[in-house]
Amino acid sequence: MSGVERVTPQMLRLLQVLVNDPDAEWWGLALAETAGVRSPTVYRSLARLEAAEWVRSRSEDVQVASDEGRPRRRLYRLTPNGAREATALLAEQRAKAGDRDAWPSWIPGPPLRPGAAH
Amino acid sequence: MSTALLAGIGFLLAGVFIADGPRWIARKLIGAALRQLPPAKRERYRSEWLYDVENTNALKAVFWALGIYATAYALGRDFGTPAVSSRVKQAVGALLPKDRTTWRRGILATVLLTLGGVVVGACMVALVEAFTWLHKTFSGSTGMPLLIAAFVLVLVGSAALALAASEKRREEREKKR
Repeated sequence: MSGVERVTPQMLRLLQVLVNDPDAEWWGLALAETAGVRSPTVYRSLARLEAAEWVRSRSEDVQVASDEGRPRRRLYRLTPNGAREATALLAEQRAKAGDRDAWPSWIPGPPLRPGAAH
Repeated sequence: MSTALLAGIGFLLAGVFIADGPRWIARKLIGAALRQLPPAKRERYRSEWLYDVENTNALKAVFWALGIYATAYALGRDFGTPAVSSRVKQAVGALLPKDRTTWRRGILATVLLTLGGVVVGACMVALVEAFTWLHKTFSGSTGMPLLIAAFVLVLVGSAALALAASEKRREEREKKR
C-alpha cells in the first residue's frame, strides 16, 4: 500500500505536519517539536520516508550556516508522490479510527501551527 | 589566602563546566552515536545532530543526545550495520581457533593445567600441615633443626638424583646417535 516500511503513530504525526504545508522545508528538530514528538526517533522515521521517496532532503547552504555561526541543517520536504501517498495514508487512518471528522488521539489534528521552517 | 585562591579557581572551573559541560557531554554522545552509523552516512548526520544540541537548552541537549545515541543504533541497523551482538560474536570468533586439533590441544592444556593446579595446591597444603605438625611436636626441642636439615637434605638429594637421571638419559641419547 504505502511503500513505507513500518508505519508508526509517530510517523503519521510527522506526515500530518508535512502534508499540512507540502512546500515547506523542515529540519529534524523543528519537525519533531511541531509534531509533538519528543525523541530523536524522528530521524529514523525520516530515513524510512526518504528510502520510500516520500521525502527528499538536502543540506542547507554552507554560507547561510556559516553566516549564522552554526552547524548546517538537513532540510526535508515532501515529494509530490509523497504528498499524495501521505494524504491517502492519513485519510485511511482517519477512516480506520471510525469517525471521519474525528482524529485518532495520537495524530495531532488540524489546525496545526503553520510551518515553522523556512 | 591560598584557600581563597583555590576556592576562586574551583568556582571558575565549576562555572565553566556548568556553562559548557552539558553541551560537551552532548557533543561526545553525538560522536559516539555517529560511530554506530556506516561511515558513508556519518557526515550527513553529523552537522544535523550537532545543530540540534547547539540549538536547545543545555539540559535538553543532553537528553536529546542520549535519544540520538539510541536512535543511531537502530538507524545503523536499518542502514545495514551489524547489531552489537553479532559484532561481539564476530570479534570472539576471530579470537577462537578454527581447526579441531588446536581446539583439542587447548582443551587438553586447560584440563592439565587445572589438574596440575589442584595437585600443586594439595601438595602445598600437605606441606604446610606437615610443618605445622612438626613444629607443634618438636617445638623447643633440639630435634627441630635436625628435622629441617633432614628435609633440606631430602630436597637437595632428590634434585641431585633427578639431575643425575637426566644427565644419564642425555648420555644414552648421544650414544644412540
